[in-house]
Amino acid sequence: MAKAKAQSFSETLADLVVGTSVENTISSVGTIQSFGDGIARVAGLDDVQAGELIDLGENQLGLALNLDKGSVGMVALGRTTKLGAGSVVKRTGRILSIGVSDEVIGRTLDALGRPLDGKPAITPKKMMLLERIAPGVMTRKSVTVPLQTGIKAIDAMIPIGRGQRELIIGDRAIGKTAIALGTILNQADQDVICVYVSIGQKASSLAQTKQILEERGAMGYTVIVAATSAETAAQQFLAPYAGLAVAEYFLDQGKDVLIIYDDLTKHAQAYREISLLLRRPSGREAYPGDVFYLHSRLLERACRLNEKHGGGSITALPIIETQANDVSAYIPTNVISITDGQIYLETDLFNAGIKPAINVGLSVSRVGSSAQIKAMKQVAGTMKLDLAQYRDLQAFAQFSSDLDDKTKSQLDRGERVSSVLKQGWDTPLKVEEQIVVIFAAVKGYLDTIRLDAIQDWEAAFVDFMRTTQSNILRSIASEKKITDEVTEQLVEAVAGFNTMHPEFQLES
Amino acid sequence: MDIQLPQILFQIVNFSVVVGALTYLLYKPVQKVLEERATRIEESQRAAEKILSEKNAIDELKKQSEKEARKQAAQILEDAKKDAEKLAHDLTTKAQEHAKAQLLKVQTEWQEQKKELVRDLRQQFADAVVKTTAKIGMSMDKKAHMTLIDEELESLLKRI
Amino acid sequence: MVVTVTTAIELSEKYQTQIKTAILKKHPKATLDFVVDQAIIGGIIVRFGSKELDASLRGKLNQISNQISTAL
Repeated sequence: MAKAKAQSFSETLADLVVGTSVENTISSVGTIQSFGDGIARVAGLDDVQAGELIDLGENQLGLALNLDKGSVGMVALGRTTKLGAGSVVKRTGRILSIGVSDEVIGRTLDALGRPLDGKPAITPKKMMLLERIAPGVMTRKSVTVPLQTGIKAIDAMIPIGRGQRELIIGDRAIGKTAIALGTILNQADQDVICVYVSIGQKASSLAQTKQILEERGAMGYTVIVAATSAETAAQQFLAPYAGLAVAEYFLDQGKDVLIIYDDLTKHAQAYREISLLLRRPSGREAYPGDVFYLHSRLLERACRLNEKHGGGSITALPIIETQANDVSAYIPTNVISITDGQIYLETDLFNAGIKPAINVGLSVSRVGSSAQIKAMKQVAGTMKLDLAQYRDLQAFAQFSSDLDDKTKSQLDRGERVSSVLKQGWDTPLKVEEQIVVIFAAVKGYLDTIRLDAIQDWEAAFVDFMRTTQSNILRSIASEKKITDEVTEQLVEAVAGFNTMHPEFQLES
Repeated sequence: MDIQLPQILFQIVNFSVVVGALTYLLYKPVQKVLEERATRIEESQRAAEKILSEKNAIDELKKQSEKEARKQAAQILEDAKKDAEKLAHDLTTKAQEHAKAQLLKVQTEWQEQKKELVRDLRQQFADAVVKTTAKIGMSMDKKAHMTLIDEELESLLKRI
Repeated sequence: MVVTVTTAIELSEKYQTQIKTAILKKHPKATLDFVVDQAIIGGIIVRFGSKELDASLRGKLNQISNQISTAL
């Protein structure tokens, strides 16, 4: 048996060799004139295209970025140790592209589509170009379907729709990535594919993120494209485009995709590094002249397509890190002017214990309530106004004993509504659960609850609604609005819950 | 006593006039007032009785609603218990499915590893082929080289 | 335009002139350069300008190797 197997083995091998077809190849070559810092000047390569991949030998690739008369400026993608002056490099004929197939879901890839999670390489079904022209005006549709983040403060007052670009901006260590991850975790049953692009992050943070996503089962609908800070600047520069190419593969299939760029500040810095090494002229803050175009062409490709073109959408959540809350720096102002709104996180709020530290006054969603279901509009309509009035009155809070009753009640109500908006980053709420909690808050059912017991009240209340009043939740979820009947039931339920739990009540 | 008779008569007449006047002016109104008073007392008594009966009715209602509330609370408790049981059942089925999924995961991982091994083997074989043929090439004599070069040159020059 | 001809063994003068004439017929302005490199194992590589025609054994073996390792 073994002998027969060995025989057939050698026969198969012989067949393999005989079955190959060999021909004389003609290829376009060039010689490296100088090589340093990951940048090479190549003589020859007369007919190379801009943005084309170049074979450096040893399975390494380079990217032709500068086409000058007589030489080509090339960026090496990956660690190249054997290159030097005089080395021969060849054109591949491939414009920068990444092979994608349906099995890319759940995988972790680098900017060139190579696997980083130790599993076998992807067999590409389609080669997606990294640089593609954004969909034109006539192929788009306006944003009307909500993308539920699971975070009350965002879904109620700064709603995000599918196909929108919403910037998450704030200082370091303030919860930007937490909001992004919370949104991914909430897409478990929303039929949305998530792409998380990690640019210049620590490898340990990426490993942590991946572990969290795996534990919560989010890898079943998420792709991670990563260029950690140990990768070359060229890979960090390409990572967002690679992530977007993967997202566009699913967009072409008519699916809804969420893509998160974490973060674009490091992306701009990597591009600045490459441009300076390529001797391109520098401008403000030493960034090259086309750093706006770098981000605008990336974010313009996030869109919602009309039915004729598949009806899919890509929602982009870029993250920008500011220094000392300075939103008037170069890159933040650029990206703010490109996106359809921003979620502004402040250190003062974070230190005061308000997490997520969203400044509702400065945060904007230019799509607004067209991306909210009617039920949410019904309850959250006045919440933003109430909070604004509360903020104005906050300065008088220390005089609470000398205030008239109306002001005092406004302060109390504002405090309770603010408190209800606090949320753990990994506890997303379904939209119907958010609606019943906000309903209780704005209709005054929290006015008799102790301020420090509001988080416990909320947890107990959501539990109560889920177990005994699930018909109310189901009705809101299916009808997408609160009918009069449901309003009555809801009032009864909240009042009943309050009487059943006197431990949360204020001492009267 | 002879003057007394007209006087007495006058007194009697006077008295009867006074009595008559009093009856008409005083007695009747006073009686009316007394009657009114009596009716008023009767009315307020009736009103008090009515209020008392209403109070009793409300007390009844209160007792009834308390009973209702207690019944509802018991019902809610029942439902909660039922839901808790259902939840426990769901959790067990979920745990079973999770175990099945884990098994499947391990199986697919093994398949992937097998594929990887085959790929590795292929690559090693390809390298071996190249090395052996390279060896052969080294041992080619000048004549063999020149024949090879002649062949290739012909086709090459056509393409330049 | 520089044309480089690479072979694994030294070519005779006669042969070199043969190649020169053949190439100059198609590209009159070419300057020829003959290189000996054993690493190509056998056969010939002609590079003219930035285009390279690979008819060497090494190139053929690399192709076989690639085709086998990526075959399914």
